[in-house]
Amino acid sequence: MATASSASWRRVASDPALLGAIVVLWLMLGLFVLFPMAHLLERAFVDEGRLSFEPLLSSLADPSHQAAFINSLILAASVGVLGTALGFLFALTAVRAGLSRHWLTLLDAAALLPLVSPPFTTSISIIFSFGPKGLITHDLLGLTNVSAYGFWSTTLAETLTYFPIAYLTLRPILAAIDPNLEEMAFSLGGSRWRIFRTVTLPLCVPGFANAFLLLFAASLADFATPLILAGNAFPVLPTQAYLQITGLFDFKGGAVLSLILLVPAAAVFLLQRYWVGRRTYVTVTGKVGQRSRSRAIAPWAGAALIVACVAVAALIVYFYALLVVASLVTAFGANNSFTWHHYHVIFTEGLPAIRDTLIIAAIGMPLGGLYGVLVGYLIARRNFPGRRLMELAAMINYALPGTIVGIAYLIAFNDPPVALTGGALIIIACYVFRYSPTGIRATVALLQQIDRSIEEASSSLGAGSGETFRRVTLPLIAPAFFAGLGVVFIRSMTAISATIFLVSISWTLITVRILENMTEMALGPAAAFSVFVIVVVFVVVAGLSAVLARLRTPAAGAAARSFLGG
Amino acid sequence: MAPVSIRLDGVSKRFDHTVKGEVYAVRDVSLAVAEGELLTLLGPSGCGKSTTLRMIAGFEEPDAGTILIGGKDVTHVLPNRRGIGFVFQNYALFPHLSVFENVAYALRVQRRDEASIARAVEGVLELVGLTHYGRQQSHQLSGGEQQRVALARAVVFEPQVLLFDEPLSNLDAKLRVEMRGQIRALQKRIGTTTVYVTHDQEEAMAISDRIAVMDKGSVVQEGTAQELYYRPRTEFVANFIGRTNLVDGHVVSAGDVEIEGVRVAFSSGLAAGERARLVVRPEMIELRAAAVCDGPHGRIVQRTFLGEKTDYVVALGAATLQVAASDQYRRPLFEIDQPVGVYFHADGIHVLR
Amino acid sequence: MKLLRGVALVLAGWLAAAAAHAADLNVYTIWPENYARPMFQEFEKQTGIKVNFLRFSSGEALTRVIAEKNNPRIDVLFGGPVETFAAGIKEGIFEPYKSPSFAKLPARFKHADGQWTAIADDPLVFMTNAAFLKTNNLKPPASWDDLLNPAYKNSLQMADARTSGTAVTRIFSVLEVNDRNEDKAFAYLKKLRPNVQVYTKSGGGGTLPTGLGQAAGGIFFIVDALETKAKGYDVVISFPKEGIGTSAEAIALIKGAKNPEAGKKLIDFATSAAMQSKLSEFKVNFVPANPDVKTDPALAEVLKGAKIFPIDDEYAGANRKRIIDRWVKEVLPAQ
Repeated sequence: MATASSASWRRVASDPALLGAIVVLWLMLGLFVLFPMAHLLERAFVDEGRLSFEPLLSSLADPSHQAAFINSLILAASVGVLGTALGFLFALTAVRAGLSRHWLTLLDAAALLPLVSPPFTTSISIIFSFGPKGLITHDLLGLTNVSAYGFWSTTLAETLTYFPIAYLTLRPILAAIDPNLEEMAFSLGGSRWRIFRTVTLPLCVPGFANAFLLLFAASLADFATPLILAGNAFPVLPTQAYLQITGLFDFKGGAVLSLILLVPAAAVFLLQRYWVGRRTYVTVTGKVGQRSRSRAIAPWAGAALIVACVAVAALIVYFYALLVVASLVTAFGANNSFTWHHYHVIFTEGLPAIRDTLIIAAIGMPLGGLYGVLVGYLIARRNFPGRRLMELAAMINYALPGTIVGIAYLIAFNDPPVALTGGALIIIACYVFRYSPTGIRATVALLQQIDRSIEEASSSLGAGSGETFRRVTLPLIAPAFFAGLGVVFIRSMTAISATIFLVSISWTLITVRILENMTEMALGPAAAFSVFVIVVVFVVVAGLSAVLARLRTPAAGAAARSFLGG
Repeated sequence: MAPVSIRLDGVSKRFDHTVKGEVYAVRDVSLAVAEGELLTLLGPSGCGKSTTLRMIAGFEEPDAGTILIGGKDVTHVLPNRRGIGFVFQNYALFPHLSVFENVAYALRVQRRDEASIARAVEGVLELVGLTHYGRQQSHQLSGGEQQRVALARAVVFEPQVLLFDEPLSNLDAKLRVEMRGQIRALQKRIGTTTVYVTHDQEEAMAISDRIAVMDKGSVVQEGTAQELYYRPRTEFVANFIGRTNLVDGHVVSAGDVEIEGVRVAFSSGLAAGERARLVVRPEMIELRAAAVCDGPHGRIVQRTFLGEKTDYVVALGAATLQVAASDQYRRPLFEIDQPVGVYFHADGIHVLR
Repeated sequence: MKLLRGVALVLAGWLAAAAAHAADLNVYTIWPENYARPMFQEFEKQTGIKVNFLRFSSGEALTRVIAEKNNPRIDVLFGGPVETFAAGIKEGIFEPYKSPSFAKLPARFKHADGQWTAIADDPLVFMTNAAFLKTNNLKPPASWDDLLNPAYKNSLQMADARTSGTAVTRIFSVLEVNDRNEDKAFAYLKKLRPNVQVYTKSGGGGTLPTGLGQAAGGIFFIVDALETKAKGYDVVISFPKEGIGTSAEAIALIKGAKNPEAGKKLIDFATSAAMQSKLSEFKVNFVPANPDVKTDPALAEVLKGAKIFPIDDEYAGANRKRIIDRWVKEVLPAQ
């Protein structure tokens, strides 16, 4: 198709805003994704100037690595399925169960807790709750021979940690399905269950695919949870890669292991493209139906949904109550006298970490939100050469285990020509390019439901591609923008795996301090830091929701009104 | 603004089809729309009419050929630089903007000052009969109102060209008739050169100066409604525009044709002994009582009384004819199975080949 | 617009800037912050040199120093078991330096060329949960074989050899008590495996679960064990009669340090009696390496009668990688 591609080149060249956006994005992707990856590949496959696959082959032959590989896939698939189901349960309840705004806000808050938490918090609570002397297994149920380590506890922790991603992905999609559609099917005499099965579920398929992909990738890359909970009977690849590097000082082996991990990540990604790409569901058009409250959910089903959600929310709240208690007692489990001491410590000795984290998160947040919708818009809506490639490049840092991204950044940016280590920019870049795919995916999913003619209308009315994006597309995908921005902020406050290698003497992060406190057995300050992070994130997210509610975006935006909760 | 012309020269557009490979959506289409004219692209779905319109708008780029608006080659010009007002089938209103802001959109893009925007928007809302609707949100409007907002939005910035893509297909029948009258009146009033796409031949005939009938990516015939109706060039056009009888005639001599045994004095321009494919419109056949008529008789198969006329289906030899009788007030209706004499009005017969 | 661009430029410069505190001393500490902070404060008080520091576990600290080799961000690597420093020497990341106290130190507390110098000693101990012992009617373990008691099944926590210096010292202790007979030592380690609930990333990772009773006990460095006790958790410290190893904690100057003079001053301070006598004052339960400093009486009391031997540096260094690999291959998967 030489003619077609030259035509699309010409079209891009005649559109300065599009051309500019593509050039800038490629420059940034090149610098912050491809350049570090090239360094990593060199580290993995080049031995004294010669290409060598020996490390790869010996890694593949190692039975413990094979087991870890299979375990990773089992874990990621379980978390993907369970997390998507849980996210859908919450989304359905939020959109269709007829909860009042007040209760919805509470439910949102509980659902979002795990997403806004620093790493390890769920894991630590699970260890306290499910071990041989665990608060639930021993004190409540009287069981003594229960292990808190292994597949099930890891799956539970990761599912609870990541299901809000599925919730955030599915909720706007469910909200964008015109209830009139279900009403119509209902009026045609379909049973509610039949309507749910034949109308609502199929319309959510792109959302399911997106959510599953995001969860699968998140679980595949997570090293913090398995590090604490998987134990030795259930090793997974990211943990092995991390141990290979930080424990055995084996950069090469760690790099190779992480590259093996890329294979399933890429496979799931392509599957999702192939599957969802064939199904487009246009339900948001310029022709807007009257909004009505749905009768498509039976009252008893609505009640059941609410009960299920409240049960999950209660478990989450219990986990976090433990955390609050730990931050307020002298020594959890031994000396339960009340103290403010741990908070005093984090606001004196821990103050630089708090300050640095807030600055970095505040700068990364808008950049990440904008980057997410820009890339999502370009790959969903614009036809330009290299579109697929850009989509792939934008996913790389997300799919790779954070440890590896951190190491790649460290190797790539330590020396000139681009010496960035030691500064805040490298941490911000890491967050933006690693955590924006949530925003990208949300944008793509939302755009799949917005008819192209709305943008064509703008263009026919004289607006260039940049102006159309700003005046029409951006307001319509505002929910995705705020989802993306919110996730980048939350991750900036809570992520650790990549940035543990990027913090420096001038710029450090709360999460790194939490991990250090944990290893120093200073559970009190660790819990206090965690509570602080959660409070800050909730305040910011509540602020975002307020802004979103003020944006008058009735069609797509009405759904997003309490989108981020809080 | 003086009206401009539109010209398409040999325009083609291919698409990649996953099964059939490369297929032509539009193949070598040439068209000319005169200044101030309303041309309708008419055809069944999938005939390439919408793709042609979208290429004029600039939403699609032709693989071959050139498009000129006002004499300027715009083939590779972006839609926003073409000065076109486009009205979409689904209205494509901006859901996040009020009616006023929807209509004002193009003017805001042009950075007009607030006062002139307000003046222009109110003027055009009045033109489409939505004077007090400015503050409404688009989802509060009915379908017809939404379409009028879309229309107002498309004309407010005085585009060089107006393009309509099946704008009425989502409305009910009565509203459709009303709206097409309004669109036509508005177009005449502002005098903007317009291309209108529809699959509804009645709508096309009602609204157009000229019609281009498209089939399988090509224009098969262009002309006024009357030309297409009375002088269709192909069976496709004959069938698509209005109801028709396609019958085979036997040329007896230079001045006579025989249709199923009925002799008609008609000069077909064909040599004696040749077969002629003839288009005979239902209202050009007259039925008479068999008693007053010699020659072969037809037989009434079906009768539909419609008030202003009565439709009959008549079997004549091997042919089944549709007949529209509008003079039934003067005599009793024919009964089913009644034998009737069939007369063809020679001046209404058109030869296809 | 111009103003905005100017602000953006300044902001970018500030964010991209690497550590700009030229006169300050930059340090990675492997000692937990609550141990290291008072030492650095004391150093600042004495010299007026400000110490910027960041705490990492030994593996992470070493990985960073190696990655930053071509453009070092720090001047001194502070604390951490000697085996970490031995691994660093192979990577050529240290600058040899002999402090005034160097000569005084016994051979096992210094690298012959001065690549590193020890600042403290840290013996391993057995630590068990008192309530667990009582419920199961057990005495505190007093022999390596006591840990094999089925009563401990699936309830001990100790460190993973891939990340933790504690674990490496522990495994070499087992080798030493088995007269360096590797097969015998590994047979023991494999027999111990069913009693181990989980191998933790860091050496102290199991102390809190032991304190809470989630684990019955484990093998830890004495600093971590005493810290757990000090927090109020009811744990018991004991020593095996066969003996248990100890690891020296070291300090080293980074090759290519931006501020080597200040770095040397910190090494002088850390190896001196001046700092090591502060350990007792701040209840940091390391055993001082400098022979001029007396061990804290309370710590000495705990150590009284314990049979403690140093891990042979040369032997450990030569066999470390092989032994860990064997541990990963044979012990870890055994159930």
